Amino acid sequence: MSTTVKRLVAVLLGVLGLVLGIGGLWFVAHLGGSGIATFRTTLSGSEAIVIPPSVLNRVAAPVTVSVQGSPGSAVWIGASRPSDATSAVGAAADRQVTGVDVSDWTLHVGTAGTGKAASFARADVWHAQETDTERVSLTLEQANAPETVVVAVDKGSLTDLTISFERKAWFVQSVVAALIGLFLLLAGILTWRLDLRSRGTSEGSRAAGSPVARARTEEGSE
Amino acid sequence: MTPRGKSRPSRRALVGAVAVAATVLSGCGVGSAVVGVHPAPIEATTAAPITVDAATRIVARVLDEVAGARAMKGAKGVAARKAVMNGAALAFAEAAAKVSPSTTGADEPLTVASEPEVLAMSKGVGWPRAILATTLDPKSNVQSLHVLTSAAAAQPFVLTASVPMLQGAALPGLPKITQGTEFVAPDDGEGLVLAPAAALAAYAKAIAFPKPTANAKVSTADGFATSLAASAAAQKKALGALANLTLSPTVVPEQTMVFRLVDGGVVVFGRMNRLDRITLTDKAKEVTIPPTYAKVIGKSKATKALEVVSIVPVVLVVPPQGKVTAIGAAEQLAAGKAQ
Repeated sequence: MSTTVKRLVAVLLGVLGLVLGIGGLWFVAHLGGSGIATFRTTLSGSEAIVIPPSVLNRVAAPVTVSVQGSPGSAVWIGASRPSDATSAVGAAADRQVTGVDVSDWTLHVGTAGTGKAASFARADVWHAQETDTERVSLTLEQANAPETVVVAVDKGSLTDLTISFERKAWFVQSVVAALIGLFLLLAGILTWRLDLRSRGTSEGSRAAGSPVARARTEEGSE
Repeated sequence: MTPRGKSRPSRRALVGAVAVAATVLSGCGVGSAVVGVHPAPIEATTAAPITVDAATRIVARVLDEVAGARAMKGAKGVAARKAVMNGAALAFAEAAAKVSPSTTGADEPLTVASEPEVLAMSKGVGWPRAILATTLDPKSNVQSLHVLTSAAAAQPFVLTASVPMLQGAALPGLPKITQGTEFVAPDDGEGLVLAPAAALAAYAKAIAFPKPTANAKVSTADGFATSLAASAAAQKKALGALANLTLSPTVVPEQTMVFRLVDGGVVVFGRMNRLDRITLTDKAKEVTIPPTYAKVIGKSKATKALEVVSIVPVVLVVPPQGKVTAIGAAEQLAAGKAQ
């Protein structure tokens, strides 16, 4: 194997190892032993929040949506079929959660519509719904996927939205990634060092077989 | 020269490695598959619209609200009943409230408060929607069928029909709840022995008195029809030559709901208004009106004729072949007049 190829392999292994190792450790630190990925955003205003299946139903694992309202507010949360949620929300003002950002564990929330804030609790389209003072949570087990979650507030405003995905395998995968990364990094370093050593040995051999070396050897023998 | 010449392949190797690593770690969707992230499933638009648990909660809530509304009196009671009922169920409840609670029997379906069981839901994402449920009164052992409907997303379910099942009657198999069952138009008789609307009309004519119109495709061997015929015959005998009795049921077509069964047949929830008329002959001077009727009519005696109207919700099964049979029925005195 040529020196260039050996070096390329060593660098590749090292970079892969570093990326996997650092990434794995970073995920372990954020996911914890339970493998819970939590995304959060701060809110203001009383418009309803709509969380579509493209956010909620992307993993076969329980998803918990938690909402915090202002002091004294009555916060309501409900889950239904996507088309039912659209019908129930109708022309009411709402903001759509469009995605998550793993780099900073935040939720992407669109801008509010122009309708009026509304109450949806009386609509009989919800698979599950909860109402409580200031803070309410709802866990979707994915059995009824796809589902849309709608959040509304009465007598106050929404201040915080959190979505947690719980998948224990993520913790294990993160640890495995970190270990594989460490292994690859070590393999890269070893490959590089072996290359250097073999180069040193071969240069020494070449030096011993050169005319100058032979002349020195002959001089020595005389 | 030598150091510069050696640094070129090293830099190239580093850049190449980073590129490969970035591609492997971020691209091609492999990462998503490894961590279990997949596209959200597509919504099924032909199944039942809500879960069985949610439907059961809705039925329990509505039946509780109905029981509460039926216990209320005056204008407040009227408003409460209108908020949670419509169709035949509302007409039945209003008539019962008018006559007074004492006239509603112990097995009256709307007063039953037991754990409901959802039997079927209308399929699809549109409106109106319906839930077909049943309750069993542990005291009387009477099973009742309830139909709840929702006209729009913003309108909660209300009780539209509530009918006790006849003794020994059984509801044929309905499609799996989660699959949903389809609404059938009352005049759609395709694949049926009779169109649902025609079946109701034929049944109404078949239980008329004293001249029923028999229909070979409609059975009147059920408990309700036989009991009605026996009661009318007994009254006629008691009245003798003093008066003539007629029973004239008519269908209220706009309050018909039809659900498809597994075997291709349908279950029909209909409402009839039955006019019972007693016409005195020349041999009678007057007839004393029973207290139950007198309260509705406002008189205690009649000298020429007595008319009472009863609301009669019925449940018929219309099969693909065979005879139309009644599996549920009730009656409630609603109005009357005397001359």
